[in-house]
Amino acid sequence: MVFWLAVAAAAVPLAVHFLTRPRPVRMPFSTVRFIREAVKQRRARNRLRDAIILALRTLAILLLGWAIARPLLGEKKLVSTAEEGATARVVLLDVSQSMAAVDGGVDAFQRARAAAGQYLEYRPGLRVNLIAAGASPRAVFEAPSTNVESLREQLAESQVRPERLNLLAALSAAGDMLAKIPGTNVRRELVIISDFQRSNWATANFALLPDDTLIQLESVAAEEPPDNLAVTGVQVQGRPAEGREVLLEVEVGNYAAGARRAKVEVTLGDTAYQLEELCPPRTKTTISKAVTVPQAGWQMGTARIARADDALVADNERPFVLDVRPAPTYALITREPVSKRPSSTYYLERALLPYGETAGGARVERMSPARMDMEILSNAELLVIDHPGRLKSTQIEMLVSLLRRGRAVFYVASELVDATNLKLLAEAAGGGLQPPVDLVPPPRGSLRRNLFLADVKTDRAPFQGLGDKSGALLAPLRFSGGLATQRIEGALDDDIVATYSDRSTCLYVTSSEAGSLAVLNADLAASTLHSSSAFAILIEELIEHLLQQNRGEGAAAGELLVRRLPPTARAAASLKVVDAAGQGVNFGELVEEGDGIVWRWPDAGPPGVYQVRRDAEAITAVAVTTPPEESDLRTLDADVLTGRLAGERTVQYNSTVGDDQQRDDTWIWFAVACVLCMLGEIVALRVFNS
Amino acid sequence: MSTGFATSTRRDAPTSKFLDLRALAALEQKRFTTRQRIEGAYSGRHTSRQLGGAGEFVDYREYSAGEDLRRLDWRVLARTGRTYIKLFQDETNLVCTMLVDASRSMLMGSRSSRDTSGSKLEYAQYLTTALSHIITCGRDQVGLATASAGLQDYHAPASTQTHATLLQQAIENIDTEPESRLDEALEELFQRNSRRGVLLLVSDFLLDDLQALFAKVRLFRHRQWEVVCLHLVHPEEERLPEGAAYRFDGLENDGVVACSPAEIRALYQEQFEKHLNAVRTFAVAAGCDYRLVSTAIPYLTTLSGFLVERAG
Repeated sequence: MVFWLAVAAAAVPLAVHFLTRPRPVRMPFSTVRFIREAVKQRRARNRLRDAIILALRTLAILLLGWAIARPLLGEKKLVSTAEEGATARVVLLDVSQSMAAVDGGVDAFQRARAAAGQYLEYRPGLRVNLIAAGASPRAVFEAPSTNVESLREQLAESQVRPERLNLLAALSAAGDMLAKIPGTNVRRELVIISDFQRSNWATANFALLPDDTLIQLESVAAEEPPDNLAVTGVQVQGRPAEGREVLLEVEVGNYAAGARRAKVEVTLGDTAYQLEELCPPRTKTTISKAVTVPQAGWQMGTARIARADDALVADNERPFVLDVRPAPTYALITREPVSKRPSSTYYLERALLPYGETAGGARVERMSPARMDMEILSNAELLVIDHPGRLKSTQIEMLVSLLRRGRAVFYVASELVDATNLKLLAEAAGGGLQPPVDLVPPPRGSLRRNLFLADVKTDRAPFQGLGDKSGALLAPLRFSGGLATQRIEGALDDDIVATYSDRSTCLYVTSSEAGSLAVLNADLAASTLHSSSAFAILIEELIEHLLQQNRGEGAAAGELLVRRLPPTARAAASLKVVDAAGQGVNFGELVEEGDGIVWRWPDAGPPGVYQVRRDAEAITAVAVTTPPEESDLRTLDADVLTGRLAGERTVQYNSTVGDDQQRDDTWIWFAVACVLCMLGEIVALRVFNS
Repeated sequence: MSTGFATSTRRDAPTSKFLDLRALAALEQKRFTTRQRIEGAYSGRHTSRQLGGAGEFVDYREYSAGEDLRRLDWRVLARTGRTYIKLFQDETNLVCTMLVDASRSMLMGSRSSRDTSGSKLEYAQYLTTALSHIITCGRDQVGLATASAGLQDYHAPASTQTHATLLQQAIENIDTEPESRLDEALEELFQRNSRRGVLLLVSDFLLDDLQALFAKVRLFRHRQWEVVCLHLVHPEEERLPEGAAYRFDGLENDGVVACSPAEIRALYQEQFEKHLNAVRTFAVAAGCDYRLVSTAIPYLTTLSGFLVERAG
């Protein structure tokens, strides 16, 4: 059809040529023979001239038409909007944050919307559906439909979301939809419109789709990744405590080809701080500043890059929260009497309060296992267990409950009964606690004495606090007591931080739901650790590490947020979830589960700070943020998508930006060529007339 | 059209439309003179070829036995003792024969097939009508021949007004024919005329064979005729008409050509110029008096210039 139209268009100048030829005037003439002779001489030149002019005119018309039509060059698209027959098509539209990146004044999502529109045109036999792919896939209909009008409306209303692209979920949803299409003669098509960001797409797996699915990839990414500067993280080093100075660290990602100076404005409560650093290209830079937290409680803040002038504006600001705790209280659970000195407990207590109880306001609440009080334990920052004897099941349950609700436990295991206690603790916690080793009695006849540290992860807490002196400080240490250890199959070896010379575990740190557990396998009284200058540092670092673990990370926008509230939360009915402005509209639900309250929010967001409050008191707070990986705008090569990742699938890749650019250039050249043809005609006329 | 060689006319024949007496009044005083000595039947103003006993004395020649003694100059004999005779230039009348080309090509410039206004033929008709009048007014003799495919019509020279009227009618009734064989017409005319005179050839000379024509012209020249060639050219013949496209129909069955004049004008003019030069060359080589006449110039102007030029 198009071909015949083109032929008809090319025939137009021919028709014009013949129809507009001047009609000859008949005239009797006496000197016809001279005319004939002149015509004969002229004929050869005229033929050549007419042929040249006709060719130039035809070419000019064709070029002008082609320039206006801007046809596609190159191969035909795999998924064609003109293909006839029964077709089930799913259009997967990437709505992740990176799609808001602006290049050349146009953001990728505008291009994506335009590209998607082409595939949502009605034609007989076509059923189509639209899935907005972000942290979770959101399909307009449950199955492909002929209601393209609604799909186009939804497309028009679709927006970029401050989320990452959950490609696995999106492909799975599309695959399920296509697999459910009945009939064998139905053409299955999947059109994916995305920027094919490397961080999202590197692990794409098309195996989730039916085998006969034709996959058309439409890239809306810029030809070159645009420059972007982003705040990718905010944290504090050290435990933020009222009146104490902590190191505020802002991580800035410079996704540009050249170094850029980042000026970051950090507001924490009512105080603003200015940070500045030259950020090398294509890397993250941490900018630090010591700040003093004035008051206790949950503090809200934001870190914002001033005048960033980059492709993605949404990642120039990141909210954060700090849980500024009052002076810590440590609960020391032990059977050892206070008067027993020296003892393992004594050394521990000295390490917990190196400067005494009054310094910094920290306290140690010493209690025997029989007098374990839930309220006291709930208020304690850290539970230290040393020589507790055999713990009863109620006590075990209490510990498990506290672990689940975010408390940290430091267990010094030196006796056989400690192995039993830890075993019971793991069993009571269920799958929430997975220690890397089991403590077991040492082999009969073997004495655990004068063991030294053979394998230490000096880049991990607590040993990283020793710095360059770790070797000199750790080498002379000798340990005695404790238990043999057996590796648990499938457990994380990474949790083991130090190992003895007899291959038994010295120290491991593991997580248990919201809490964390550190186990030191040694009898401190029989070891030389307590007399080392490293002891206090190690204990402090370990405590810092355990308490930081409990603080909880921020939440990614669009994803499931689950927070177990601290024991101080009490009843769910007295709590409500609000945003930074104090408004409380559909920010998840608070559910009483077992021995605590769980805040569950299936689709957290938009980015900001959200608190669970009881009246004016903030029980907990979380910062919902844009996933930092969305800030790296690098895209995956087309070859990788169509080759390695596609496997045996029929996958075609098309870049809308490249095509537009190419077409924009092409039509300009076509128009120029058309003008040149017209000029050529004028020149030819002059030449042949001269 | 006169079909033969008419010898009588009606006395009260109507005046020819080509005869504009008022316009010709100014030219009646002019005479159609010849550049060479002529031979006429009567004494007129023109210089006769014959050296008779009357007329102006011009020269002496030695007496030869048998010559008329009356022409002997006795005074010279008495003075010198030698015998000489006088030579005189007798003044006689002009005998002019106008040969008009009646081939179809002479219709070039006609407004339509029925209206020959503006054509070369009409121009020739005006010109020859005027000349017949002027020559007759000068008491000279004028005749007419029309030629196309041979000699079409012939009126022997005479000097009466009646004869002139007859000629003018014949001129008015000239009918063209598609063929053009002037050479044959000239041959026939030559056969019919034993007397010397002036041959006024009015034609566009669009012939296939100019050489043949002028070979016949030379016959007249050999008989001491004065031949005047009036070469009629229409302006559009010279430069082709303006316009984008034309379909030129040959007037003498020489086919049709469609073209754009602008495209071939230069080449055509080259060809036509070549033709004009050829005619001129042949005419001059044959000893003819050649004159290129454009029909764009009013015939009276042409005629006036022609008569003045010939008067010397």
